Amino acid sequence: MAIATPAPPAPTTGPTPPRAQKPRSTARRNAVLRGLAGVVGLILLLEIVSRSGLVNTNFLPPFSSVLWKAITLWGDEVFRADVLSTLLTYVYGMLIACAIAIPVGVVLGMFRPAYRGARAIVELMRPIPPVALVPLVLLVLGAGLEMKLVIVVFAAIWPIMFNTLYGVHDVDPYAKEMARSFGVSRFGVIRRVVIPSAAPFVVTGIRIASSIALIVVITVELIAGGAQGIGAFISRERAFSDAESYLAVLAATVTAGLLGLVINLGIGWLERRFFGWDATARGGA
Amino acid sequence: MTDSLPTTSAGAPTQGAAPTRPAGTAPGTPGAAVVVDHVSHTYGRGDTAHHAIHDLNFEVMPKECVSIVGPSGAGKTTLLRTLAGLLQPSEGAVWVNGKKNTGVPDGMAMVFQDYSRSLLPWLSVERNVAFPIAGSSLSKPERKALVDESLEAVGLKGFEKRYPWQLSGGMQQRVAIARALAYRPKLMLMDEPFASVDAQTREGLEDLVLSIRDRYDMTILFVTHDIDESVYLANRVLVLSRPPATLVEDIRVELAEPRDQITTREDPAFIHLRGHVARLIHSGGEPV
Ligand SMILES: Nc1ncnc2c1ncn2[C@@H]1O[C@H](COP(=O)(O)OP(=O)(O)O)[C@@H](O)[C@H]1O
Ligand SMILES: [Mg+2]
Repeated sequence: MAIATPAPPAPTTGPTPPRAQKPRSTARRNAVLRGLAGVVGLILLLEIVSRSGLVNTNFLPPFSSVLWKAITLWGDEVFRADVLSTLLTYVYGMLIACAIAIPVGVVLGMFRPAYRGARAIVELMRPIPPVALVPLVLLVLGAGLEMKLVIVVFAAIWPIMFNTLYGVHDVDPYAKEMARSFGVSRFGVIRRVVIPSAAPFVVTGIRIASSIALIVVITVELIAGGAQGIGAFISRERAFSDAESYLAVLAATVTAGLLGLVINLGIGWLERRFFGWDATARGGA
Repeated sequence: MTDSLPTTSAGAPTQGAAPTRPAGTAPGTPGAAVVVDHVSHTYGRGDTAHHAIHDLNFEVMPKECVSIVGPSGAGKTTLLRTLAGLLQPSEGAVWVNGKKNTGVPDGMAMVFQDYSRSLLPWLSVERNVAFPIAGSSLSKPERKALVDESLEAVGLKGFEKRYPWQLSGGMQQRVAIARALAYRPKLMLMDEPFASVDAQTREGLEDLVLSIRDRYDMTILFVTHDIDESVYLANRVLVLSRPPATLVEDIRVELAEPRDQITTREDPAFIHLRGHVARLIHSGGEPV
């Protein structure tokens, strides 16, 4: 052996840690403020129009009274049960839809032959409006939770499945090859590369499905007599057609809107919190 | 280091050995880290078929640093992918540490050309580096020690919690190198790893490769299209022809160690070698 090689030189360029950067938060806050200003403006407008006596206050009660009603409604046990029923249907429906759509999307996205095989069925079923299934499902399952679930699941499955499929398809083959080069198994590549890489797409699918699901739950409750839920509450109150029940209808509608808003904000927050890398990695660099 | 290397490593290693060699053992010199035995590869079939590499034969001894140069599109990546077991060659076989490649060989790590795509954006630097050993039987402290040491070796201590997209290109490629190091490979394959970093960063990364080769006693195969780089880093330079790539020449590089970005590059022997390699590449494999 020749003379030992001298100790390895330290890498020449010692990079300095970059400054932490946070340009987004102020922009976000501004956007939120502008959004809030819009909402407050609209509420004020409604209030003024209603109190000015230009329209029948039965149909357009002052927004403040609607809001007050929406709060006091929570004292009503029946209303609470209805909200709970809507929420439960929504949550169960989303869980079932995810449990079906994500694995199916992964399989269809990974294996082309599976996708080609399933395509005809999928393209046939997807255009069916979920609500059009109500009469059929009512006949088979009656007006209970199961009926609502079937329809919500049917509505929520597509966005989740297609986003998963697309996300899985979009995984960089280069990253998969990198994993393989370290001896990672086929299943390991799916678990450690494909799924995390597709996750932001899946969550976007879930967010889209979530707003559809809430709308569908409430619509089904509205049209399927005997059902429970916010929709059923609205449909029962409307039947009385007096000022007080109009107020209740509007208050329940506002409650439904707020529920949707809160859910949407929650999922958006999750997306930013856990998948911020996606937007930054794709947008930046 | 250089003078302890075997003196004959060029040419076709298999010709003499093949008939007498027992079935299942590697052709070529016993103890070779890599034996490439009559490897050819054709992509596709029929009209669209592309014959990328043709009848390549060479071997690499342990601890050698061999660079592979050739014109763009010659089939350098194809060759490296067959060595990595990511691609089964249409003909011939690759043997790594005496075992025939049927899949990815043990103890092999690859550094890819495109660091921005080979690093996983959802993992922090330290978790990217831990990627190859995350599923291993090592204990948590052992894994952490490997990650720390690898990051230290590439000069990225203190960047553990960053994300790849928060780093410059050169730093990202260091992370990719650290990831390969954490795997403690005996054989490291590098595919044009510095093709997309600026010249200054590149020199630093070249010296990094030299330093980790000595520190970890690895065999390194380094693909590049940069002629100077191929000579500067290597004990041997393999020159490939235009496609279908054949081996034009296997050149021994006997330059003073340790290499130095300034003195090595002004050494007349270096200048002579780089001129020779350049002529070979420009002639595209015709005799010069
Ligand atoms: N998967 C593939 N299918 C078909 N042709 C390919 C594939 N990969 C590479 N090639 C072709 O093989 C040739 C050699 O490619 P490559 O090994 O990447 O060359 P190099 O790395 O030397 O630039 C190129 O002409 C390329 O188009
Ligand atoms: Mg290449």
